[in-house]
This record gives sequence, C-alpha cells and structure tokens, in this order.
Amino acid sequence: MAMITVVLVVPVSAMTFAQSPGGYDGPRTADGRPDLNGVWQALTTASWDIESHSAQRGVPAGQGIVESGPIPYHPAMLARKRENGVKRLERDPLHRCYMPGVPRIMYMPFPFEITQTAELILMNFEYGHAARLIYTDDSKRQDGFPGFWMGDSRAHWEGDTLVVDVKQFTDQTWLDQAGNFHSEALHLIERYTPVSTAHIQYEATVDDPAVFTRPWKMSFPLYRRVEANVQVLEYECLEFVEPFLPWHASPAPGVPGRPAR
Amino acid sequence: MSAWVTIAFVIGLLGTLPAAAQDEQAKPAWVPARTIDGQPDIQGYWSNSNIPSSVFISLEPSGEREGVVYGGSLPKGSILVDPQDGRIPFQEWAAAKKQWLSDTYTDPQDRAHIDPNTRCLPAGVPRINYVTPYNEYRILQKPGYVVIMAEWNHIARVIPVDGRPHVDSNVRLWMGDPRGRWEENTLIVETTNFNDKTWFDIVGTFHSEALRVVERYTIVDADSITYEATIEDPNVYSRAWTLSFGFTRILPNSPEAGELYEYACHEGNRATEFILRR
Repeated sequence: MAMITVVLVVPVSAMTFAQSPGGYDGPRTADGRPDLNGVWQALTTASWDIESHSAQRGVPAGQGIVESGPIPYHPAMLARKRENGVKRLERDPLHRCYMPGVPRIMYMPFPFEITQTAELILMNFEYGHAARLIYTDDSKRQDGFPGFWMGDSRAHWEGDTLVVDVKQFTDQTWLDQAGNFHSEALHLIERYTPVSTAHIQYEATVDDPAVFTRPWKMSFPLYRRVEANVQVLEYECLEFVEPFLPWHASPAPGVPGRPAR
Repeated sequence: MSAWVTIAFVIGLLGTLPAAAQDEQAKPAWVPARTIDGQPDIQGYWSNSNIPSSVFISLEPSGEREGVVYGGSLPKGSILVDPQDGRIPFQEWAAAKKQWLSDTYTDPQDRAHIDPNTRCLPAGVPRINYVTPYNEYRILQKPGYVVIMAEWNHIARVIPVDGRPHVDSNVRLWMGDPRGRWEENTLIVETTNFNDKTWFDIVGTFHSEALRVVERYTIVDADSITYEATIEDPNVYSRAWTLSFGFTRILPNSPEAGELYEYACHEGNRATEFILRR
C-alpha cells in the first residue's frame, strides 16, 4: 500500500510542478528572485524552421514552436516569406554573420549564459558573441534611436516569471532559416517561467501588424547545461565567412615567418 | 539566504566604520563593499582613462621604431611600463614580421594584414580594455564570477573566480580562457588558450597561441581601479612585458553616464572593403 501511494503521488506532484507558474522551489537570488544564473540552451529544430517541418538534408524534422499555427501572415507577406525560404542562401542575414536578433538567438543550437543582478540580466551568447542586456531596474527605453539588431529589452518580474518587453528592432533579422521574418514594428513580450532548477519555460508573443494579421505565440523550454565544466565558448561566425565576403582580395606576398627549429 | 544578507550587511558595516574613523588621517587602504559571496564589489559602469590617444594606433610610442608617425597630431604617449624604454621585446624574427605588418598598414593587400579590430573580430586580451578612447564597460558580479561587459563589439568576459581549471588546450579562443582570483583588493586574471589571430594595436603588434596574459585589477578607491597586464609569449618575445593604465567609475551625474549601446560593428562595417579597394 505504501508503494502504491508513492507511485500515485509522484506523477501528480510532477504535473503540478510543470503547470503552476508558482511552482518554482529552486534556489533564489539575494533579492528573492528565481536564480537564473548559469548556462542555458534550447533543444528544438526552430533554428531551421519555427513551424512544423519534415526533414531535409542536414535539417532534422521538427514539430515547431508556434502555438496554434499557422503563422498569421498578411497574404503579401506570406508570399515574401516563401520567397525568402527559396532564396535563403543569399538572403538569410546569418549567412553574413549578422547578429541573429530576438527571438531567433534564443533557439539557435548554441549555449548562452545568464548573469543576473537585481538591475540587469545579461545574456551572452556563444554564437557570434551576441549579447542582450535586459534591464530590470524600472528604466524606460529611450525613443528616437534607429533600430537595434538585438532590440531594446526592458523587464519586470510577475511573481517568478521574468517578463521582457522587446522593441526598437531593425527589419534586418529573421526568425529562422526558413525565411520567416518581421519588420521594424516587431514588438515581443517574452515570458521566462522557471519550472525547475534546470528548466525555464519560454514563451514569446510576437506582434508586428506590418507583417502579421494578429499577435501570435511561440513557446519552448530552455534547459540548463548541467555539465560541471560547462562554459560558453566562441563561435566567431565572421571568421568563417570572411573569405567569402565581397571585400576578399587575393593574398599578398607572405609576411616574414618564424625560423624553423 | 537571509543569513547571507545579514553577513553581507555586517561586513559592509565593519568596512565603513574604520574608514570613517580614519577620515582625518593618512589615506587608509580602501575597504570595499562585498558581494553576497564575499568578493570585493566592483560592479557598475567604468571607463578606461589616462590613455594617450596614440596608443590606440601603436602601443610603442609613435614612430620610434618604424620612422613613421602614426595618428597624425594625436597626443603621443605610452602605456608600456616595462620595459621602461617603451619598446616591445620582440625576438629578431618577430621584429621583422612586425616591421613588415607596420609597413603595409597604410596599404594592405590582403584582409589578413588588416587589424582584426578593423574587421570587427574580437579584440583579444588585454586590448579589449584599451580598444577605444573612453570605452564604456559594465562590471557585474555573481557568485563565483566577475563579468566584464564591454560596449565595443558587445563582448562579455565571463571570468570564473572559483578556482576551476582552464579548458583543454585544444580549445583556442579569440578572447582566451580567463581564470580569476581575488588577493585582497586585487582581482588577478590569468588568461590562456588564445588563438594567434588578434593584435595588440592597429600596426601589427602580434602574438602566437603561446600567449599568456596576467591582468591585475587593483581597487584604489570606490571610483578607481589600477589596471596592469603582463604579456608573455616565448614564441614571439624575448621576455615578458607590461602595460598599465586606469579605470574610472562613470558616476551617474557624469556626461559619460548612460547605458551601453549596441555596438553593431560587423553589421555596418565598410572599412575593410574600402581599404582593400583603394
């Protein structure tokens, strides 16, 4: 009977844990917030296509991260998305190693590190040493700037959920390799809800009236990298595409070298 | 958790009392506030200071080795403190290579002969700390780490201070692999695992993968840090050499005060293309 009780109780409590935003009971920072410090990484195929897709050469099949899809494009914008997908080798900004933007950076297959203080949450990404500075100090964004590649992030806590308002984007970043895109009017509301010490549920509401007929949502889990020696290394994208950029020139006569020993 | 807050508060209190008591006497050693894990607290906005402008072009005083005056009418000077003659102790072969790179600096024929910073690649160490005049930095601390976020090219250095070993020697990094420790009011950072692709200035002061940099951030008072970096590379230099300058806290009422902006370097870079097409 005792064994049966255990078997019954464990799944019920696990469900409560996963479904209740107030269910986080992991470590907290000095100011009482869930402690998000550490290295995190998404495990989805959204970097290739945020919508459900079959496998292609080099691309794993995936079920997508868009909630209640399809993505509600304006008809002309859907045509542009399809053209982007066909011409992605020349159009995808990542092929020139530009900053991936948000939310794309959040589900690329590279780790990122969170450094959390009461006033600022820094995310530094292995991909292209991209960074997000997420202000939690009640500061207001400054108007009048041209768009930022990674947007301007202002956040507050709603209970244990970090809610990040991201605006002031360029129209130069995409949402994935499949050609899903946005305009400068993109406005994201991200919700980071820690569910356990090793798992944050990420949800973003994507609002961009120039491209979509209504706001829509994406969601996926972020996993803590728990290896004892884990650290964010470098994927210096530019280093690998430099030879193919238009300003490549033929090599000059060699520089003097170190004598052989 | 509340016990830690109490301890931090008491440490802070103990720290302020003696300093106040000695106010009228000789300048006491600075007693910094502590982070929750007991590190001296150096968080906030900082700017590099007292660096002569010519240094951003050439670490060696302009023109002394190459017979060329770099940087036109920029204020001349040096941050090299050892050797005292301001010359980087290149081995003979390396001096020849550096001279070649300096000679081609105004008319490079290949991107590999253009300063990696101009190409928007990571600045390396210690150059990230003197990469532009009055560059802005934001230092954050979390248990076991000091994190130095540079505005230039949005580069964060995450420095563990928990005694963990370096990554495997097969891993080579533009910014190297830093490991820090606190000795009283000095943060000592040893960085290894570099690649051989970064330069220390625009005119080709280079190193190899054997580079090892030891930096010392010494807290002088609440608003100033003395910075020193010693550079060793037995493949390129005949001995270690050292540079030094200061960091000054950017106070909220300062004209420099403000958040770090996004430094989209590569995204807007036309310099490399124009240099090569001249």
